[in-house]
Amino acid sequence: MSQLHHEQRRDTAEARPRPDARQSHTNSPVLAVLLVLPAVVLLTLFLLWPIVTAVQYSFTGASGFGDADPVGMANYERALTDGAFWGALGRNVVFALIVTAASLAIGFVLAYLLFLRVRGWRGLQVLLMVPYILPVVVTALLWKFMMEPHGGLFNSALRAIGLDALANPWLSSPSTALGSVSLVQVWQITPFAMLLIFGAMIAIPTEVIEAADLDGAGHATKMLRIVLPIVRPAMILTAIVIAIGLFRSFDLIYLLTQGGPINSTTISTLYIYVQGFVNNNYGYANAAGVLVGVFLVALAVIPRIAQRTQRRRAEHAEGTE
Amino acid sequence: MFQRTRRPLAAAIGVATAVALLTGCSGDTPSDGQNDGPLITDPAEVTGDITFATWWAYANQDLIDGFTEMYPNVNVELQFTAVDSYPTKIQAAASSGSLPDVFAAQNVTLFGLQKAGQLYDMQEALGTAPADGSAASWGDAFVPALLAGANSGMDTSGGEVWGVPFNAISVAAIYNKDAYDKAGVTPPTTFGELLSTCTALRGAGYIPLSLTGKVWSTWWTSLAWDQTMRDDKAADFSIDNPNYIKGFELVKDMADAGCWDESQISTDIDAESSLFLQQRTATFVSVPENFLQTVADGADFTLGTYVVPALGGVTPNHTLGGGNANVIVISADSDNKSAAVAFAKYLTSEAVATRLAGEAFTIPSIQIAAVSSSPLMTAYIDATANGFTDPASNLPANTPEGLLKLQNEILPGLILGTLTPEQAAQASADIWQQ
Repeated sequence: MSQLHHEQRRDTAEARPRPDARQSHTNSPVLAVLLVLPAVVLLTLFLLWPIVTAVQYSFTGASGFGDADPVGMANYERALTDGAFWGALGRNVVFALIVTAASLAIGFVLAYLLFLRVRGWRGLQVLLMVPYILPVVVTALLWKFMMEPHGGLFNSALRAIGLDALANPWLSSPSTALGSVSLVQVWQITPFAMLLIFGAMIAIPTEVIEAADLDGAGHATKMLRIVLPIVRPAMILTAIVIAIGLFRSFDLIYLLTQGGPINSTTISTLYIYVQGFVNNNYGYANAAGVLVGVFLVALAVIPRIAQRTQRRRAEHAEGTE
Repeated sequence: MFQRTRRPLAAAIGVATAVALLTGCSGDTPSDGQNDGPLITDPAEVTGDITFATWWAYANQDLIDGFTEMYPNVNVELQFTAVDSYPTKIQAAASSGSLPDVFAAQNVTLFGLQKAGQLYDMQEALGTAPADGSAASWGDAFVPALLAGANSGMDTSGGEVWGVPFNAISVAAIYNKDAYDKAGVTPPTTFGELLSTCTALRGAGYIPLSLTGKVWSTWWTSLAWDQTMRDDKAADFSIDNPNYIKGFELVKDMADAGCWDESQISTDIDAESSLFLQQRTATFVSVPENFLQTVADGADFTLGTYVVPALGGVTPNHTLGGGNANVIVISADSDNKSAAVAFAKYLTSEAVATRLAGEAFTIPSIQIAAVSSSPLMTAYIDATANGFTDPASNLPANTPEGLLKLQNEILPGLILGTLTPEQAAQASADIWQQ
C-alpha cells in the first residue's frame, strides 16, 4: 500500500510539468501576443478607431458631405464659448439630477416592498419591470398619446374633474416639457434602479432584520436606519450608472419632443445630433461630443478616486491607532 | 511579462493615434466635374447608366420609362427613399463618394453639398436646348424667380447654377367648410378678415389655422416680409429696419387673434394633418403635392381651398418661392454628365410638367400655363397669379442654422409672447448671410 502510494506520487510528480518548463512556455512573447491579438484588434476596430476618428474630425470643418478642412482648435474654442452648448449640458445636468434622484427614491421604496415579501410580491416584481422591458418607441408613443394636448388622457382626466385650468400641452410647452420628459424617463428607468437595489437588499443577513424586529423597530426605522445604510454603496453605484446613461440618452427625448419646444429639452446628445446631422456642422459636433465624452469619463472616474482616497485615509487612520 | 508588453503596446497605439491625428482626414476631395469634355445632347449618342435618387413619390418608374423611350441607350436606376431618411442617405452617400448622378435636394442638404464641392455647375447645360418646348435654351424655360430660388443661399458669384427647380410650390389654405359654416364665416380675402375669422373659429371651438411649427412656421414671416419689405433691397438689410420688424408684428397679430394654439409650435406635418382630419383644426395651410393628396383622401367633411390673404393687406401677395423646395442637382463626380443633364432636362420638360400637373397635385416650374387637376388645386394655381417671391431680392439668404433658429426659437417665442417683435428682430441678427 505504502509502496503503491509512493509510486503514484512519483508518477504524478513526473506527469506534472517542471516549474521551469511551464514558466518558459507561458513566458513566450509570441504566444502572449497571439492570445491578446484578437482582443486588441476588436478593441481597436470598434472602440479605439471610432474615438480616434471622432477626435480627428473634431479638428476639421467637416460638414458631413465629404469635406474635411483642418481648422485647428476652432471647434473647441467655439464649443467652450457657445451658450447653446453649455445650455444643453446644463439642461442635461438638471435632467440627470431629477431622474436619478427620483428613480433612486422610488426604486428604493419599491425594492423595500419586494424585500418585505408583500402579498403577491413575485407577480409585482414582474409587473414593475414592464416599463423597463418595453421598447423605447412604445414607451414614447404611449406617453405622447397620454400627454397629447387636445384629447390625451392627462388633459381629458383633468377636464373631467373640472380642473380645466391645469390642462396643459405637456410636451409642447417650454415650461412643462423638460418635467414631462423627466417623468417618462423616471417611469422607464425606475425598475432598473429597483432591481439593483433589491439585489443588494436580499444580501442583507436575516439576523440583522430579526435583531431590529426584536428591538421593536418599525418599518420606517428598519427601512431608513438599517436597510438604507447597508444598501447605500449599491445605490451610489446605481446612481452613477443611471446618471451616465442619462448623459448618453437620446432616443426617448428625440421621440417625445425632438429637443423642443424652444430647445427646452435639448440635452447634450440632441444638441450634438442637431449640429452634426441637421446643421451639417459635423466637425463641430465631434468636438462637442469629445468634450461631453471627457465630462462623462470624469463623472465615472471621480467617484472611484474619491472612494479610493476615502478608503486609504480610513486605513491610514486605523494604522495610526 | 505583461508589464513588459503593456508599454510597447500602449506606445504603438499612442503613435498610431498621433499619426492619425496629425495626418488629418483622408477623405477624397470631390472633383469639380468641369473638365469632362463638352456635353453630348444628341439622344442617339448619349449612352451609359445613371442613378436617380428622390423622395418624390410621383417621380416613379413610369416617368423614367418615358425618358428611356427618348434616350434608348441610357439606363436610369431609380433610388426612392422616404423623405424622413432621405437627407441622411444623401449625406452618407456624399461622405463615401457615392452620390447618385441625378438627385433631389433641398435646404441645408443642398447648401452642404454645394459648400463641399459635391455639385455639378449646370451653367453650361442651361445654355443648351431644352428637352422640348419653344424656349431658346433650357435656362430660359424656367420661371426666373424659381430658378433663382433653387440657387438661393449658395455661392453663385461666378454665375454658377447648382440646381434647377423641378416643380413649383405654392401655399394655400385647405379648409373645413362645415367648420367655417358652423362658425358663420367665409374664406377671408383680407388680413383683417383673416384675423376676425380666427377669432370666430376659436369661438366655435376650433383651432383656426395649422402652424406646423417644426417645419413650415417660417412661411408666415416670409409671406409678411414679401409685403412689408417689397421696396427694400437685400444689400441694405438691417435688423433695425422697421419694415423687417413689421413682419414680426403681423405674425404676432395673428397669434394674438388666436389663430394658433400653444401646442402647435412643436407640430410636424403628420400631426397637423391629423388635427385637421380629426376636425380639431379648421384650416390646414399647406403646399400641394402629397400633402394635399393626404387630406383630400382622408377627409370625411367638405373641403375647400382659398388663397391666403395678403398679410398686412397692403399689396397682393406673391407666392412663396417654392423654387428651393424641389431642386434637381447633378453630382460633381458623375461619370456620365451628358446622360445626367439629359435626364434633368427631361424631368423639367413641358411633357413631364403637363403630365404631372394632370395626374398629381403639382405646379410646373417652367413657363407654361398651369393646369388644374382638381378643384382643390384652383387656389394653389390662383396663388401663383401674382408671381413668385424672389428670395434674394428683399432679404439676404438664411444661413442653414439661421432658418432653424427662426423656426425653433424666434417664432415660437414670438407666438408664445416671450419675445416682442422688436426682440425677435434683435434675436435674428445671426440668421442671415451678410
